Amino acid sequence: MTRDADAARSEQGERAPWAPPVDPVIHAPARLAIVAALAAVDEADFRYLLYATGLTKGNLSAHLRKLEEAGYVHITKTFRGRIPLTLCRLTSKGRQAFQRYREAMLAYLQR
Amino acid sequence: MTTDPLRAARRQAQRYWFADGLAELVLGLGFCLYAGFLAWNAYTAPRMGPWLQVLAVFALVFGTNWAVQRLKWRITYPRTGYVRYARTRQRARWAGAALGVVALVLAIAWWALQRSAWGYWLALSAGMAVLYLGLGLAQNWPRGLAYAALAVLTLPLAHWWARQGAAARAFVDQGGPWFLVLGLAQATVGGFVLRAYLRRHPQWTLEDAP
Repeated sequence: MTRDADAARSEQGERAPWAPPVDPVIHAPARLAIVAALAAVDEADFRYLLYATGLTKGNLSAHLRKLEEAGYVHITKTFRGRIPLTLCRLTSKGRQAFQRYREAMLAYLQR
Repeated sequence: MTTDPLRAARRQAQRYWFADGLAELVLGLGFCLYAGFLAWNAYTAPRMGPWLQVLAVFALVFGTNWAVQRLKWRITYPRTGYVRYARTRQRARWAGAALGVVALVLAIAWWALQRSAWGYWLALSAGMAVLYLGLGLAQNWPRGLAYAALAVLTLPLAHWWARQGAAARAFVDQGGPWFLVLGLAQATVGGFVLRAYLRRHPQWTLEDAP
C-alpha cells in the first residue's frame, strides 16, 4: 500500500515524506560524479573529467550539456599551443547547489 | 558505509598530481644533481661558501617546479587532462612544504648548537622525514611515507660514509647522503610510475577532442 502511494506521488512529481530534498539535476550518479570532480578543483579539462569519472565521451558530453543548461557549469573551448582544451568550471550557482545537495544528503544519512 | 563524494573527488585530485610520476622523477633527479654539487663542494678545493649552497637550494626548488610544470603540459595534460587546483589546496601544499623546511632548519640549527655529530645527523634525518610525512599526509601521497622511512634509514649509511675521511665527513655534514639516497629512490620510482602511466594512457589526437 505504501509502495503504491509512493509510486503515485512519484508520478505526480511529488517527493515522498521520507526522501531528502535533493536537486534532480545533481542527483543522477554521472552528474554527481562530474559536479564532485569539478567542486574539488578550480577548473578541469574534459579529458580530466573522463579520467576522474570513468564516463564515455558521449555520456560525459551529454551530462555536461545538461549541467550547462541548468547554469551549474561553465564551459570554455580554447587551445594551449596545439593542445585543444575544453575547460569546465562550476559556476557559483553550481557550487551552491552542490553544497545544498551535500548538506541534505549528509543530514538525511545521519538521521 | 557512505562516502562523501566531495572528499573522494578531492583525494582523487590530490593523487592526480603524483599519478604520472613526473614530480617524483624530476625532484629525484634534482636531488641527485644537488648531491653531486655537494660532493663536488666537499671533495674539491677550494670549497664554496654557504651562499652558493643557498643559491643551489633555491635553484633546485624553483627549477624542479618549472620543469614539472613544463613536462606536465607536454606529457600529462594531453593524455589525461589539465586541472587547475583550487587556491586553498595550492596554499596548503606550499604551507606543508614550508612547515617541513622550517622544521628541518630548526632541527639542524638546534643540534648544530649541541655540537654533536650524531645529533646533527639525527636532526637531518628527522627533518627530511617530517618534510615527506607532511607532504604525504597533506597530499594523500602514500609513497611520501615510504620516503620518510627511507630518510631515517639513511642514517647508518651516513655514519659509515662520515668515517671515510675528512672530505666524506664534509659531504655527510651537508646532507649529501640523504639527497643522494632519496634522489635515487624518487627518480627510480618516478621513472617506473611514468612508464606505467604512459602505457595506460596513450596521447589523444586532435580528432579525439570533444
